Amino acid sequence: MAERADPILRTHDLHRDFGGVHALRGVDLQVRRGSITGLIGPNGSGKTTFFQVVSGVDRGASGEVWFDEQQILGLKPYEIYQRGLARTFQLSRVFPNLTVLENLVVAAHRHDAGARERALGLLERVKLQDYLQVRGEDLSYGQQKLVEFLRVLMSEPSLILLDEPAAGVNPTLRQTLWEMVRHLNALGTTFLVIEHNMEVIADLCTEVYVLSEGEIIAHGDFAAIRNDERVLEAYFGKARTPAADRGHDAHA
Amino acid sequence: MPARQMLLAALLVGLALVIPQFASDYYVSFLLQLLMMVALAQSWNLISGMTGYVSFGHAAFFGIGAYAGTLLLQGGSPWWLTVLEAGAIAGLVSVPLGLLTLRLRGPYFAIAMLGLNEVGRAIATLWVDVTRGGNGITISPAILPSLSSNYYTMLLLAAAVTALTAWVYHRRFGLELRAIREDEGAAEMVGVNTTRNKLTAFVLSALVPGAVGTVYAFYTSYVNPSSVFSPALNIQMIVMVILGGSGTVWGPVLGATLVMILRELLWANFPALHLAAVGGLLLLCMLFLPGGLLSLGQSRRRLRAELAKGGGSG
Amino acid sequence: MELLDPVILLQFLIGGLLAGALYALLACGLNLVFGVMRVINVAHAEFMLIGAFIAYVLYKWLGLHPVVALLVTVPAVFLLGVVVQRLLIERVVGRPLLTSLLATYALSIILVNLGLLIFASDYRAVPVMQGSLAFGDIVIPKPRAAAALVSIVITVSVYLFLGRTRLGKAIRAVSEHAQVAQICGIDVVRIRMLTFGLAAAMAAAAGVMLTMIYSFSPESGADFTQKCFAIIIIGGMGNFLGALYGGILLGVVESFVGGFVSTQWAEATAYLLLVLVLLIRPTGLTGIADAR
Repeated sequence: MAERADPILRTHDLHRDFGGVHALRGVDLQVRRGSITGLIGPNGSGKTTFFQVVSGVDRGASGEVWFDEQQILGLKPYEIYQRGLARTFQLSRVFPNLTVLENLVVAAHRHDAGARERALGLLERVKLQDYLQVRGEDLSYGQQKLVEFLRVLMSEPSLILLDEPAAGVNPTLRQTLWEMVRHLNALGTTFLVIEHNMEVIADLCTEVYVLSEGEIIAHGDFAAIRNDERVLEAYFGKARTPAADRGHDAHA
Repeated sequence: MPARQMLLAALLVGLALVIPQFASDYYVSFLLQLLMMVALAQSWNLISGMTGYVSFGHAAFFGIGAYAGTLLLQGGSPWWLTVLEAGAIAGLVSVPLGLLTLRLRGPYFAIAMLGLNEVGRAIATLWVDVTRGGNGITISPAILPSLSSNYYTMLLLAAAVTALTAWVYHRRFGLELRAIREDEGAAEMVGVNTTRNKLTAFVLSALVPGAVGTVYAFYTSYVNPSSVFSPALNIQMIVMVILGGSGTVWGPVLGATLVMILRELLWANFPALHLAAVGGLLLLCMLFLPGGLLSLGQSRRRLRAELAKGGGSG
Repeated sequence: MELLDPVILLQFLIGGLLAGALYALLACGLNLVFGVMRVINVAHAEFMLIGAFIAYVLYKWLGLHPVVALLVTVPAVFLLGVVVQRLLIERVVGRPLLTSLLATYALSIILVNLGLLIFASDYRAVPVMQGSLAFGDIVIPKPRAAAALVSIVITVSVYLFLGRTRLGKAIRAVSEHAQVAQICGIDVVRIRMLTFGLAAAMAAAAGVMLTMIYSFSPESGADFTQKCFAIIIIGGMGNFLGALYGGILLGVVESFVGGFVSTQWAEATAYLLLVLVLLIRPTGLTGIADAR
């Protein structure tokens, strides 16, 4: 099968203004098909807002969002989900009074006859198969985040937006989660991941976008952006960049 | 649906089928009203219990059905057909209403629906050409179905809507409705078409009250704005479901039975006391037992499940 | 051409403003409760009726003029509101909005039916202050003028109270962010009790003035509840000024509809306006709460 070279997700000049707070200022971003792309940036840089806009929850943005060469800006969240773009939340939004099985099955496509089997299989991968009939609110937080992660896999999306999927999960299961991401990626699923843990980003992502104050300030593989001036400035502030230090020395 | 429950249901339906052969008209009337309450409660449960969109003015559909059925009957239609047609009319009215109000999130939907019953009553009072206004319409006994016919129709409606609820509950549609109730935003995020689901549930929940309203009109042989667009009926619909356990299949049945018993005790002499008591029950439920009586049994089951689970956290 | 006679238009306008002032008083109280504790009090109009019936009883037994009865009724219902809040409402604060909605709906049913048990469904009124004031061609019935005056005085006082006094600011702080207010040392529970009592007192004041204008029964609350909700949806939930403007708007529109169309359509105005606003802008004209 020939690999498609076009990006699976493409945004152009994405702007989101919350009555004075300019959360996104013309974001241009492309996610390569079959990649695991990272999205990093300091707190408040607009990463989650970006996810909100792309996934259809926030419908107040302007610009263009192309998924699989289809304009999706303005579509309802469930329409976007049904086209194959799924996302997880930063804080777990598991359905509290539904059982784990119900939580998973509801996320599968409507006429999917094999949903139950797939749910069982996924639960076995993370050793939660005994928790089938347990209600969402009775799970521990880490378990909830795992179930939420499994939930978006139920419809077999082609692009998954992960918003800090490992936060709150214990180290062992965190490993399992990243393994699953790699495994699914090898099978063709593309990922766009928000993460604060730089080791994970370095390990997992083939390329990284850096967002700061609503703008993309760097893009490339991790090694390249790690030493990028603007990135360091965004994270640590002007005074601490090597160039500023050199300039300071020169004037001393 | 669990075999035990189906057996119980079959038993109850069997009893209901047979009782009129032995019982006096008084008891048949009582059962008719009980079945009416069950049908109304289950209908309300379909939208408010399952999706969490509390429909405050739902009695309006009862009123619409009562008038529609009466007028159709007087127009010459056979009575059983008018029951179906009135239900359909109520359903039809609910479509634009639903499209308009279901766009709003929970509490705003509730507020928008709050005045619906009053609006229905006002229209019935003012549209004198059609409804004879406050005087109401008395139906000639010549065209009315018998008590027996009314009874069995009511039984059919109650059984049908309960079966519908059970069917919905265990299917994909019911799961999606419950997901909407849990977290509508998250439900949208996992592909649930919330608009279509809510609207479908709303329309379904309007059909049966419409039909039931017609049968009630035939039973009392009289409709007037206050009697069919009744605030008393409105509150009782809500309390029956919440008291019994909203969002479940048997909760409304349990709640309807309890409210009817209370009614038998109090209504004849002190209608206001009955309603105050009903209000009191609702208040107590909201303060202490929002899941209704059925949730009492549930907590015990959950506790047992917890203990059986033993350790093992993620 | 007669309908467009400026005098008649002015008459409708003034009539509407007067009624609107009363509505605004009612709606502002409801809004206050929502703002401070995120509770939608469906029983608000019933507190108004409690005020009305107290005034009625005082008139019947002691011959007290309603305006004088205010002095007794308002504090009494204030205390009642405080007690109701502490015993009942406090328990549903923080729970989903629908829980409080259903709970207060239940409360309203209880109050209405207790009222029916005590007073039956007969309509009552207090026939004092007969006659009208005339300003040129404009005629203003005295009770309405008095009611509007009292409403304005109370509403403005409450507005100033909220804006200028320490207690008022504490109330606003809790309304903005209860947790932060608590950390700053504000006794949030006490504030909620006071707020609810204040809102109930405002409603009761409206009820007392009502006795001179309309005839009422324990079941009269429904109409006013409808109007109140229409007002706060139009004006935006949680917005004090929004409730004020909304109340006046409703009063004026009702007056014009009643004048140009019919009184029956005027009664439907509240619901029609509500539907209109919901169609166009579900968050109301100036809202803080997210409706969608």
